[in-house]
Amino acid sequence: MTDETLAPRFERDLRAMLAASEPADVPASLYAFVDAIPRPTSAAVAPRARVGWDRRALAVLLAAAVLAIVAVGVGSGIIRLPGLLPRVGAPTAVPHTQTYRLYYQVTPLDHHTPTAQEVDAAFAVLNARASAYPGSGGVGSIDEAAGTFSIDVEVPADDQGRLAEVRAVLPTVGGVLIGTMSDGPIEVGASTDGRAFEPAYGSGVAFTPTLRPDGSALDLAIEAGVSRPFSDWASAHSGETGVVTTQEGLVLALAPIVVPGADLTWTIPFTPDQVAAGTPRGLLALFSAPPLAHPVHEVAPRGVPLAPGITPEPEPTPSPTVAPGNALHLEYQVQDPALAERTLSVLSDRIRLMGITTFGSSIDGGGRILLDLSIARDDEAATQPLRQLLGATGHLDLVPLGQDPVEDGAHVDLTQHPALISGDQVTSQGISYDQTGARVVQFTLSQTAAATFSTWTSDHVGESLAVVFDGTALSVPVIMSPIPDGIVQISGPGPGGWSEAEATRLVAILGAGELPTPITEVSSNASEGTPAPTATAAPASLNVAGYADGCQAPGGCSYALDLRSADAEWQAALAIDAAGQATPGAGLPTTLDPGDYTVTASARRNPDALGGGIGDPGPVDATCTANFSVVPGDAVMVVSVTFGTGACTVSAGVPQ
Amino acid sequence: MSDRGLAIDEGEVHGRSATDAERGDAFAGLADRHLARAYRLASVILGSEPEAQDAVQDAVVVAWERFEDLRDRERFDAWFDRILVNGCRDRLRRRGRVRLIDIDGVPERASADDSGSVAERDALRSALSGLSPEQRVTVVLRYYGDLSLEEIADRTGERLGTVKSRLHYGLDALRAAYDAAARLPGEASR
Repeated sequence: MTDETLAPRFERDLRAMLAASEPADVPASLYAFVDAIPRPTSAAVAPRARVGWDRRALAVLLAAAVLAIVAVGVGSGIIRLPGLLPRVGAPTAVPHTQTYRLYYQVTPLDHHTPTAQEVDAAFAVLNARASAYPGSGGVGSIDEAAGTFSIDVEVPADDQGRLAEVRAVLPTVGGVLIGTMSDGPIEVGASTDGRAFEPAYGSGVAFTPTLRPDGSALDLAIEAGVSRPFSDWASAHSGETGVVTTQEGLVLALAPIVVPGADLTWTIPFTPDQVAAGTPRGLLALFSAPPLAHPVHEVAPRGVPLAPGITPEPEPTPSPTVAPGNALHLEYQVQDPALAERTLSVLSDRIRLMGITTFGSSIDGGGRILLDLSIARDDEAATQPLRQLLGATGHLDLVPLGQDPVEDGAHVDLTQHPALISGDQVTSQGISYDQTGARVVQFTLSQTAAATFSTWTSDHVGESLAVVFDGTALSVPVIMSPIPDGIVQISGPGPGGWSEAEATRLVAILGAGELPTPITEVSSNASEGTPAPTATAAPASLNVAGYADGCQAPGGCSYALDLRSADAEWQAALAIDAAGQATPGAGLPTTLDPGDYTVTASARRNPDALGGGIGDPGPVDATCTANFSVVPGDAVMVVSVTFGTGACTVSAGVPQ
Repeated sequence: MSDRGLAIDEGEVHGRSATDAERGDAFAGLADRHLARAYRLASVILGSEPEAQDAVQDAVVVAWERFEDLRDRERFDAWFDRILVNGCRDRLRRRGRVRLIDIDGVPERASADDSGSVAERDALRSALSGLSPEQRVTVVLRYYGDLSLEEIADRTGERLGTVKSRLHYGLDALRAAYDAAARLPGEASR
């Protein structure tokens, strides 16, 4: 259906309703605000404008406010709702926060597969609940086709009880009833089943909940102009006790019914025990969104920590701010200008999936795409991965290799090895962890592809299957048993799996889909050690990965890689830690120009291993080198360092 | 929208300004002329004038920070709208609100008026607030902003198919509320 099919009366009324919502006047302070922008010292800035302009001060204030709210919340327990997990202990301080990504699916019911609208609605409900939680942010993503979505929640880093509480509250059906008991008092925590509960509200009444800073009460502001005034009910029941329950009849709170004053606010007070139990927080979340129209359930991966490290302070805005003139802009030429708009859409999705929510873009008639991004152009650690992300074609294939597997990172010729399933059959994707704790990228296949995959894996146990990304094998697992559920995991290089940045990038590419036509980066204002690719040269999006193994020293080993081009124009360092995880050092280019390179690895056992390793009488230091070449079209370079007895070996190269 | 189609003489601001003052003047000129339209659009999307003022101020801040990188200033309106719409959508996502269901079944109605459409418009207004942020933004841009589907896709950063889907489901929900209101007894006949 398109909007052109709307009945004239409906469309007329819709337009009239929207037009009636238009404010009559524009506040003069808005003009003063704009006028003050180019001249920040102007005295004409209105008070509101000062708040808007002094972003740095605002950030500090917001951070302090959020931390204060979090601090109030800590020390309390959980709301007593069915299915909630008990809280374990209470921390005494809230130094940091940790963001977790929770995944949900709208539960398919008999004869009904969730629609995109229902998935959107469920996301909106859980998002609102998560946002209402003090200290939680609710940004996530939706996969309408798969019926899944994710919600990001931020909790005190050292308070797993809070995470459990949020996970318990978010997917409850919710829905709150307000009424009275006609057969005597009732207590919080009791059920109205079998009792004479008379629910009354609400008849189009909208409540806007506000939790008092000390958590002692929830103020419900009643929207003015309701069709059935709340005050009518309050007048009829003045002096009685208002009962707030779940849809299932569990009593959440009690509050004396008083006729609301001019501010149309009804207050639900909480006892100290309720505050300690976390009731205000849970009630705030439930009051902040309507009931779920369709049930949802949490799905794997459960509670993915997005930032395993410490988040020092909350950010007041999702997008970083960049000094004027220092923002990154990128310009691409699409191969088929007719597909420029679709290409921009994919690029935009990738950018958003990387957490950049606001950016500028434009297309000219010749298929030239311009992106303006809120990333500092001189921040290579941010710009290079983003440019790789945007430049990747993003084509995924699952390729049977029979009994002839290839190494990770090898090129796979799809004309010789036809794909079993391609990326357009992926319905959802995310970051997960395997049994060893290594970070993996996990995706789910469509029902049709899952059936195909199930059949194939049943018939080919013991054979190899390559997960091929843009022609390069990312992972080549051996099928150990049939895989019936269509869930595929891509393991990363090294024992630690993918780095978080790499995993996020791969998920973003999978989520946004494949570019409809190849693109070439034709200009960029990014500062970098290597020149920007030009329109005449194919981009060398060489992804440098590394891992190390073979260290038998008790204290582990450390490795350092020195990448140096043949013409010695540049060099950079790559460190590999004792766990074998590559951690790029400052200035490490992750995009290499075509050419010849030498990589030198030095391996050193850690100081506490000097007492002698297990069967490792060799020197504590070893140096070894490897040469490799980069040609246009290369996608992944794998650097492998093995610390053996008496020497180290290094292999490095790109698929030929 | 009353300011839609306002002719803007941008000749003096084309190209990169040589000095900060010129750049500031150029930005202020463009932003000033777009401000009323942006404020009204944000008000309709958000349903709140104070919040719309905050949203516009935030968008102005972001736009100024990135103004240096806007090469084609003839696209200022669309570029600014995109920043604004994204900000409004994020605000809607974070909004805390609940609407309870009428236990008694048939809600009371606002008094019928001569037009016979007040009830239906009330239902539309209520249903609009129940849409997802993305659907709400899409409906407002289409039927208040008079933007084409392609222009909405440009403003929201969504694919055209996604825009069509959001509009489809958003209108379905609005139509259901509208039709239900129109069927209630005691109202003016349709």
